[in-house]
Amino acid sequence: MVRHYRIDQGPQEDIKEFDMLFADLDDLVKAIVEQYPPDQQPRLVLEANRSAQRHLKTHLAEARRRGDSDYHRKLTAIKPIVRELNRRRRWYTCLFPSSPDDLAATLRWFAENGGSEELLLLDHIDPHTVAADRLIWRLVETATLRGQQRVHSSSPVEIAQAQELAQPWAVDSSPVTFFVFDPLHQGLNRFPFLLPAIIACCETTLGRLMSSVEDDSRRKLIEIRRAAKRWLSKAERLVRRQELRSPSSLEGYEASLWWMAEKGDADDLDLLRHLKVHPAYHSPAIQRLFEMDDVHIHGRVYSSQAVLDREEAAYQQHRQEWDQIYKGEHIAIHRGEVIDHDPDKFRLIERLDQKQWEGGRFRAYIVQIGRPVYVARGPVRGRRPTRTGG
Amino acid sequence: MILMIDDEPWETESYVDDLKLSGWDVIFKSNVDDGLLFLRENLDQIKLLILDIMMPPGKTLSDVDTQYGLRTGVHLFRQIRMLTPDLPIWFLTNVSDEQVAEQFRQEKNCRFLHKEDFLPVELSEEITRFLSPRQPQNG
Repeated sequence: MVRHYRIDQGPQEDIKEFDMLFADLDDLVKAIVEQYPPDQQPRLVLEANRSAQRHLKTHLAEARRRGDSDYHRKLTAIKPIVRELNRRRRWYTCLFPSSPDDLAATLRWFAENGGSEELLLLDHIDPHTVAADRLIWRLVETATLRGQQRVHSSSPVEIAQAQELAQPWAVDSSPVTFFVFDPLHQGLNRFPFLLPAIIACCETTLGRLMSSVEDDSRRKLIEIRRAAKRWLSKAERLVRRQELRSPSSLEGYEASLWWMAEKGDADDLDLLRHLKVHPAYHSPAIQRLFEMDDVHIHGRVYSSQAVLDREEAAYQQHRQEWDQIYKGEHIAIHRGEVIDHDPDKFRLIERLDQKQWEGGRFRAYIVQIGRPVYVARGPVRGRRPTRTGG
Repeated sequence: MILMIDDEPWETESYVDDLKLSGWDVIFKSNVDDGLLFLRENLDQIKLLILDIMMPPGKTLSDVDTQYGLRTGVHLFRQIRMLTPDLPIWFLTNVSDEQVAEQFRQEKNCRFLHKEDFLPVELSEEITRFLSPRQPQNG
């Protein structure tokens, strides 16, 4: 049972044990996820957090009353831990508020103190609650605006660090990871309920891993962060796509359509166009969302500027190699790879057009090696030319 | 008597407990309306008011622009100051806006404390030092 964990026991003597508190909380959250039904999990995670805070504060108060010689040292050690626990409590409350007032208080705290993590969580607040309560809606708006201002007014290094740390996902095979990375088979319906547990659990796991490698290799640490970010993105995309294929609710369906407008890619566009013909829910609003997704994704994926930015980055990354291999030629870059090359640009374009007729539309980035003249070859338009003969 | 007005009982609970353990008589009110009513009725007994800033405005401040409750305490402070210009008022808040903090640091009989900087034991130590340079009543 949860109450048998060390967190809930009496005051500890050794302040080193406080360092273990997050590990304990991590274990506790895992135990909660494994042993309790989804509807009980948020409450239990919150109780574990409260229990940990009470434990620390009681310990400190008793140390002061006893006149411990290292009371001030304990105070200094405990303060950041309480601060972090308090912050996490806000995260849970944001996702699982006990009342609108509870959520409003948390959103006020976000508005005043929130950073990248809080911005991330604001996206996960129940959209029905936000839509139904004007104050909540205003507070979400204010918290988002202020959070963005705060994050973006930081130094580039701080922003980079915050962005990396804003996605604290696990890199091991913890039970929670299973729910994140295998949402197609089971756990999909539980995913929203598990969010606070995932955050708490993965942050500590990832945090521990990061600290362990930090001293050894700065480069490895960056790699781990990048990998964690990629996995998160992949997991989120899987969940959203699955939600659109087999929606758990109208709200989840709408939320996923909104998400697609912001982050969907070319593959998602294909899926959306397919689903738009037979949507799971029928309403003018849903149709508008599909149309909005189409416009946004199309703009992001196929617009000339987007292609220029993305493929130019790929070219710069492989420049040394490609400049040698394709010396004197035009190359067509698509999704970071050279898909075709030819010394004659017009012949190359003709072949690209042919590829589009055969395999679907795309926009490729054409670079003449050795010359700084770049062209983004757009998707073909109009009717396919009628072929005669042959 | 110390009056504390804060809309988050869970967060304030440990501060109240610690002050009580240090021997202080603490009254906690979780909303602006109840807090102001209690203050009016017990003004002569209250030695210190501890006030949050981010709170629902309640009926008292329903006509004031509190920025959706983000600055409720600021407006409440002005109303209380009209009632009692000399009562010590300490803000204990999560507001991190330096401009707000500076505004109250310059006010007479006023202190601005960030919750993250003051754990319950520290707050009760500060209050004990401020209100009673000798020993607290039961501590």
